[in-house]
Formats: sequence, structure tokens, C-alpha cells
Amino acid sequence: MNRSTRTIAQILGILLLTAVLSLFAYYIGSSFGKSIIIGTPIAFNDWQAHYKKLVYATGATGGTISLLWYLLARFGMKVHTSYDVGKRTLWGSLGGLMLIACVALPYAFANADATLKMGASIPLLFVALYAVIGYWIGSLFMTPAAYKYTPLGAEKIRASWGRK
Amino acid sequence: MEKHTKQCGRFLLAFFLCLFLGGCALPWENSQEMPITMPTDMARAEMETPAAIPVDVYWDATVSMQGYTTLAAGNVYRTLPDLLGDIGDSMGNVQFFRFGAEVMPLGGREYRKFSDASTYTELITAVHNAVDTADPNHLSVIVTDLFESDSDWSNVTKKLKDKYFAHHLSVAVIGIKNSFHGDIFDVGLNAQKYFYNSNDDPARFRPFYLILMGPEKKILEFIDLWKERQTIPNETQYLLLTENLTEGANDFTQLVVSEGIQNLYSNESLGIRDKRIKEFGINDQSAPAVLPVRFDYQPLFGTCPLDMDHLKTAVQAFSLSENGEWEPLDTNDDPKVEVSRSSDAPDSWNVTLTFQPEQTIKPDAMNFIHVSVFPDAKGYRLPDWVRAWNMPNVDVAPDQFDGSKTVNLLHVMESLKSTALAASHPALVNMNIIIDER
Repeated sequence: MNRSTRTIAQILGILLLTAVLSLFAYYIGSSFGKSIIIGTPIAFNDWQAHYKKLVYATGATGGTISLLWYLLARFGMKVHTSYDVGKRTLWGSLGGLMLIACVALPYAFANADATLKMGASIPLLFVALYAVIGYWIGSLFMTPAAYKYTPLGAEKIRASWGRK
Repeated sequence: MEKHTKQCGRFLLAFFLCLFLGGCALPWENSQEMPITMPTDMARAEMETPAAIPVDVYWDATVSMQGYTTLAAGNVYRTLPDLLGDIGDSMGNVQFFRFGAEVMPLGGREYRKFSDASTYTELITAVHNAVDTADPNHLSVIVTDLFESDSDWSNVTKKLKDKYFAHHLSVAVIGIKNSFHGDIFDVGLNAQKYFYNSNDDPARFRPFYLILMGPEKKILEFIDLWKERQTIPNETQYLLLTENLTEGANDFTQLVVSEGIQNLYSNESLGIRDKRIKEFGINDQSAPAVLPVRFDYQPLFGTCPLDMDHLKTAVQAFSLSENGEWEPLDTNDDPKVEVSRSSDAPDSWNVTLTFQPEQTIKPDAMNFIHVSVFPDAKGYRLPDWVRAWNMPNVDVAPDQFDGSKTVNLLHVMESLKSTALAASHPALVNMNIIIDER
């Protein structure tokens, strides 16, 4: 696989992973929603319709941040010397942004929309899916070669998987 | 520069692809509106009734009715033809009939002759023939003194049951005291004839009755118009026999789900248009589901007073078969219903349904649970005026005869009430719940 093909495959991989994670976020979050709305006059289908918008927004944000890391690593940053390798601060900042988005977006949406009653389980789900699986684990395997050891724990995990 | 533009383009393309894929991955529509009808046994009166309804007036033209037309003072009866004509026309289109042994339609404004004593020439009263002729899709009004030849009121009530109560239709009786001067025939076991004169003393006025038959809403509309247009202050009493006992129907158009709901969440994904039915979902199949609702008991005008210490409850569960029929489920007596007085307000009551989903609900199927709270025979009582206006048949001796009362009224009304209770199943609360487990 040449470099361009790998780049396209990895971009598509990030998009696909985001889409799959959004599906999980929708269905798992919907099942959480059933218990969140018990005792309220909110109809589940209404809640679910509003929740879908939240998943769209969080999925788009999560996908954008994951893609941003990849595109910066692939096209935006250049390695000129050995000191240039390692952009963990940038990777960590984007990860922190992702965490903030996963927690803030649900409460911001719920604050603006009375139908979207929120419980702590939804932000936790988003953190697990988008921040941990989508961004962190995703970046372990879909970071361009020049920065493949930048994501936290990449060295150990790649080694345990028998990859360098 | 060109390289940066390319990179920017790739970035934007990837971003929009991300949105597109994310959008495609999620389902487009949440609701799948489908027609839901209640199980036949559970169905109550239709929510919607037509704005206009034909009104048929069946007038008892037997000679015993002559006495109502003779005195001028306190005479509602003589204004009745015009009053019924006006009310009937305002509700739809009115048609008058006279009946004795047979029922005959009247043309034009012939009905106005009911104010005249000479119109009353029939010798046999067959109210059952009027009921037979009545169209259940119309509002029918029978004007009578509640005398039936051979005292065969059980035949009349049987016909009312088959034609009205069994089809979610209602019957009402309006009793009006009116001045009377004339003969009363076939009284008591020996079918004696008595002369009675009330003079202009309202306490001695003799009652006549309007029996209304048809949809509950139209009967109530008629009663409202009657009260509005009734200008002579004669004593008037009402009895409404219908499947609904409260001012606002206590189904999910009125019921309030109160605090304490467990394991059930509100859902509208089926888009059920019938507001008497509410869709719920179950969160955990293995945990008990609890649905508490509150209702306010405001008796519907004219309905039998209830003894709230004699309330019963019933729960039935159904699942929708492949051919679209509701099939009863064996729930092993699992669903439990409790009724208790609410501390919030004096006429406020709580009804709590508790069930184990695994025992009551059929998995992978559409389920229907019907809960009703209803009075038993002891708790469904006739209003006091019926006893006050009644003269028992066996007591009618010449010196005891009281023309201000109706012979056998209590028996006739008890018969009507029992028939309504058996066929209409009047209920205080009807909870209709759909749980879609497909």
C-alpha cells in the first residue's frame, strides 16, 4: 500500500469509526434515555428525536477533532530534526478538547431544550465512545508514521500488538 | 500555496464526509404511525360525535296523557311540542311520531296538536314499539307517563340494552312535574281508573317523563338546551345511564400520571391518535412496573350517585395476533390495581397499577392492558328523587292513590339501572395502555 492510499484508507477509517461510534452512541444512549425520562411527561420518541441531534453534533465534533489530529500529523507538521518528533501536548490538547465537548455538549443541549432531559450516563457514554475509543484508541492505529508514538501509551500498545 | 489549498480542500472534504457518514448511520425517522384500535370489549363511546344529529320525538298519545293538557297553570307540557321542535331543529332535524300500540310518523306541524287533549285517543301504550322503531344513530326522545301496557317494562329495558347500552349508547330520563286534571288508567294490580286533579298546587303536580336515547354527548347537549330553554320553574329531575360516570372521561384524555411511576416510560412512537390510549415502554423486563394515576371524581350531570366504598377494579391484558386481533393473555393474576383516596383534594383519587412485565406482557408483541375502576351493584345507586316520586304498585288503594307520584317508578328505574350496569359497565376510570415489545 503506497503512502497516498494509506492516507485515504486512514481518513476513511476515522470517518467510518466515527459513524459506527455514533450508531453506538445513539442506540446505547437511547436505552439510557428510557430510564432518564421515567417519571417525566417526556415521551421517549420525542426525547430520542432530540437526542439524535445531540449525537449528530457530538459525532461531528468528535470526528472533526480526530480528523484534525490526523490531518495535522499528516500534512500540517513537518519533522526536520529529531527534536521535532513528538507533539504530545498538541495531541493531549485535542484530547482535552474532545473530553470537554463530550461533557459540555450534552448539558448545553439539555439546557437549551427541555425535552432533552439529561443524565450523567450520556456524557460518560460520549467520553467512553468518542474520547477514549474514537480519539485515543483510534489515534493509536490511525496516526501517520512520523507521529505514531505520540498518543499516550502508543509505544506499549503497539509493542504488545507486535507492531513497531 | 497550491499545496496548502489542496490540503485545505482535502480537510473540508473529509469534514463533510464525516458529517455525511454520521448522518447516514443514524436512523432517519423515529415514529411509525399506525392505526390502533382498542379490543372490542374495551372500546368505549367514540370520542367524536357528529356536530348535527337527527332528533326523533315519539309521543305517547294514549288517553292517560290527556290530563297534562287541561290546566293552564304550571303547564310545561303544553309548551312541550314547540320546545322539543325548537331543540330538535337546533341539534339537527326533528321528526315527530305518535304512538299507542303502533308508531306513526307525523307530517308538517301536526305535532303541535299534542298541546290539545283531543289528540290523545290511543288505548294501548307500547313504549317497546317506540324503542324498536328508534334509530340508534339518531337522538330519540320518548314523551310518556311511564305507563306500559301489561307493565312489561322488562321487555322495554331488554330492547334498550340490545339497541343502546350494548353499543356504547346512553339513555336518560328527565322527569317533569306538571299540572294535571284528568283520568289515570290501569293503576295497580286491579287496573283501576282514578281521577286526579293537581289544581295549581306544585306539590300535587303529576310527573311525566322524557326518555332520551342516543350518544351520551348528544343527550347531554339536549339536556343543556332543555335547561336553557325551560322557563317554567316546575320541579325537574334527571337520570343519566351511561358508561361514563364522571364529568371528564377518566381515560388518558384526563388522567394524570402521578409521582412514583417505576420502570415505565412514556412513549409516542406508534403515533396513536386515540387519546384514550397511552403508549408506554418498559425499561427493565425483570423489574416490577408501577403506574400511579390520579383522577378527580366529578359526577357527570344526572348520573347515579356512587358509594365510593363499593368500588371494584378489573385488569385485562391482550396481545395483538398476526391477523390483527387482540387476544386475551393469561396473566396469572399478576397485575394488581389499588384505589385509594388522595390526600391532595377531597374528590381526588389514586389508582395504582402494578405488574411484573415477564408475567403480564408477551415478548416480541404489541400488548394492551385495560384497567377499569367501577362501582358494583351496591355502589351504583338511584338518586333520591326516584324513591320520592315512586308509588309502589301493590300499595295502590283508592284512599292511598297519590297522582303526584308514578306507579312502579322505582321498579322501572331499577330495571333500567341494572340493565345499564350489566351492559354498559359504567366506569369511573378506564386506563388503556399499549406496550409495544416488537
